[in-house]
Amino acid sequence: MIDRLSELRAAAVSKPPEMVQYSLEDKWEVPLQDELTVPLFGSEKEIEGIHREVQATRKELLLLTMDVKRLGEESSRFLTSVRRFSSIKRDANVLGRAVKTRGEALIGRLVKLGELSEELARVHGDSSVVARVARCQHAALTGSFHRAMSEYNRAEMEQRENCKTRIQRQAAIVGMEMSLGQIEEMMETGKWDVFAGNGLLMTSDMRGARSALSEIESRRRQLEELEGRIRDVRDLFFQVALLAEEQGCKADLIEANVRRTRDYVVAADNHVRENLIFFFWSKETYQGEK
Amino acid sequence: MAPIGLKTIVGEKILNGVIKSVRKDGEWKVLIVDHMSMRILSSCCKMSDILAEGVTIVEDLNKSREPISCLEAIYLISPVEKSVRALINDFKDSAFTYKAAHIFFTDTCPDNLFNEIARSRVSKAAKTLKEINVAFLPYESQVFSLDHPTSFHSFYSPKSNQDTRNKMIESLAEQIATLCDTLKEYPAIRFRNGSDRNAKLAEEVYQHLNAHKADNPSMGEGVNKGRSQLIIVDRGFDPISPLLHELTFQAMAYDLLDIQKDIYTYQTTGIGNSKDREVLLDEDDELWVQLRHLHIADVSTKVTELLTTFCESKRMCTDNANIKDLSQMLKKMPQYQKELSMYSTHLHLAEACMKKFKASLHKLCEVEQDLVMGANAEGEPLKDAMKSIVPVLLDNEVSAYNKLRIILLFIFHKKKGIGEENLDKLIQHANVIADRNIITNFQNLGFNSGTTLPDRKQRADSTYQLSRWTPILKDIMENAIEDKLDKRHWPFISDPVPSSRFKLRWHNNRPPTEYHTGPRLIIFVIGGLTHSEMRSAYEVTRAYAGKWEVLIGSSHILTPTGFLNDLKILDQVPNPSCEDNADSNSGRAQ
Repeated sequence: MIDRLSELRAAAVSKPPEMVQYSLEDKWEVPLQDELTVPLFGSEKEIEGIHREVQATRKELLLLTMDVKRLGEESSRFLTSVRRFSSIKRDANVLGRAVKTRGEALIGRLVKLGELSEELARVHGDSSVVARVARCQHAALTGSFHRAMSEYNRAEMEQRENCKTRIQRQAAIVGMEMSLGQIEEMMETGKWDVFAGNGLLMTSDMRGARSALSEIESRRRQLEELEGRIRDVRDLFFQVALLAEEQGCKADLIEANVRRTRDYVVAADNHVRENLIFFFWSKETYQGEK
Repeated sequence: MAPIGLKTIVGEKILNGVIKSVRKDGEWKVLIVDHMSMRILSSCCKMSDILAEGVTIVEDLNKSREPISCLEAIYLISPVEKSVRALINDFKDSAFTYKAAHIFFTDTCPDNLFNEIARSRVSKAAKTLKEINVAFLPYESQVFSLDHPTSFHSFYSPKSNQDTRNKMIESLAEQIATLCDTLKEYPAIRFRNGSDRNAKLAEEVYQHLNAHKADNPSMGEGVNKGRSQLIIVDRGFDPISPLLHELTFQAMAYDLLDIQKDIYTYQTTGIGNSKDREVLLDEDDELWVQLRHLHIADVSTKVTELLTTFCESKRMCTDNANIKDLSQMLKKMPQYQKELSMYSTHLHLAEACMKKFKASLHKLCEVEQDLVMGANAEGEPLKDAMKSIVPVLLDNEVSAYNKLRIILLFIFHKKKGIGEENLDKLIQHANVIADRNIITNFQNLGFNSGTTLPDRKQRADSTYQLSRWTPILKDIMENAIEDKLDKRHWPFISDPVPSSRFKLRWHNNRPPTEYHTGPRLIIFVIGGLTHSEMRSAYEVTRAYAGKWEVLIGSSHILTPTGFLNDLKILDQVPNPSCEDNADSNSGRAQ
């Protein structure tokens, strides 16, 4: 790139400005058409309005593309991360919804812009600047929007494929080898009976499976009751333990007191016995002396 | 790594250098282009990219425009009188058409026009004045065009004005110099020693190249750039390639079908309604890039194969994927519409080519290949050429132009030339008396019927009987790369750069990654370029595994019909008002 602006300024200063006369036979004279030489004062506001609208729409579009990109990254993490499945799913859903709402808002804006451009074309003429500006920008924005939406579509498709791969992997863990084609079939028909096809439960065992299921269910209920009872018992024991804890020392005291009382009583009893013997002995002794 | 294509380079240069460089946040500008710059712009930038960078609308310089005095304008124009006058006109009165002007010229502005601008009021309104040095059309990633179809007449016609010829040589030289400037190349210039046209053009290019180098010393810097070469060759060197019926996809399509401005029109046989569909065949279409150089037989199989894998991966039934089934699938899965339509377009294209081929060309191709190779498919030399071409010439179903092509090829085959009365007899048999001057005009190309063709390399890789011919330029390319090109037949304008230059510093200081780091071979053909030669450029680049990049270009792209049409008017006086006219055979959709 060669910059010649300074040269131009220098040349402009050194040469006095001439009134360059163009002869009318000059065949490169730009033909003037009457209706278009009127400078547009009113349309400037409209052009500026269009520009503002376009700017805002472009910003929205940029946010949309960013969301779509994040969605793509999320879906790739589907397969590889060790985070909980539900949290990944939640994020992806949130993003998907955000994309949808933004997309709908954008469509509204684009439609309005399209109507505006048609209106301007009607009012000012099809080849007027305002109409053409509106049309061009509308076309370019619509194109970008289409691209963003196709990108979103691609991301969602990839998500779908990832889910299928994940299902396949889970099935392989369980011990059932499934091909992607089978998974696709299952998804389309809405029946997941391929699980029953060559896996854990055979179709002929359906009834047996059902009875087994009900048995399992009743067992489960019983177990729950048992669990409840055990819990009650446990509570009981707990309370007993508490009481024992509280009253433990009291019981000790009581026992100690009881022992002491007994000893005391025994001792008292001995004393009384001794006194009795002494009484009877003294009675006997003193009886003979009279 | 595959070399970065011309389109990307030019597109980036224009987007960054012109549009982004004057961008201010919150301000919008009007972009004004003239005819040539519009072609350049549309061949490498998308409208949406431009509109996303603060441009509100693109206007044509030469149409009457409404004044928008609240916005500034970017003028991307070529420095010719017409455009400069229109520019000055915009700022003639006291009320300027736009608030300010940012002027970008595609190449060097001549002094007189520069002074005119300086004298006018534009100098007050101009905030930028730069020369971007992009004056060529990047037709494909390795093909450029100078968009000058009238140069054929100026160069070769005995009736053309010497003055116009000199002016045209100068402008072509300037355009080639801008190509080298854009690619940052300072190649050693060679030309074919055989015609003074080549020498003259080479000399002019050298002058202009030096002028550019003075302004831009970084041209030709780079470890391997010292080996780059620019070879100038004229159409008369290989007159056979533009006449032959080629059987590779792109060449065949442009030859047999009516493709104007690279747009292919066809009828869809879809879902009840058959409407016209137009498809642009350019490098945005990935499938086209893959298929364009393949032989037509490979194309049909490849497309069906790709389509089958595509359908299987998206789980659609593919029992017989013909066009009707395709349209049904289209209904079922709208998200794949774009890709399927691409496949359907190319299938259509291939089918159309094959239909025309099977109708009449089969025998023609056989005769042609025998004539140009001098031997038939088994390698036996051709004994009696006349016998093989007479049945074709007498056949009324063959079109006049096809007969002419056979006659011309026959003349080249006869190394000693053909006598006048034999020629008359042939023409009479073929019933092409009206187009006789095409044959006589051919001599103006500098290829007399007595000249022999250069020795050809033996090639073992041609697998199809009807595609044995390789363009002579392919041999030249390979010889140039291997440095086997004879200096007497292909002299240098200046002494070639001494080889010691590229021994230094090969491991650090790598040039920016946008530019190809290896040496480039640029070939310019005076008088038009054929599709087969374009294909050879890609093949040679691939064969040398990206070490050398071959770029090829000319003033315009030829199809056989166009070539013969141009030859026809070669002996007529030139039309004076044909300066900016777009020829239907070259250039891009607008």
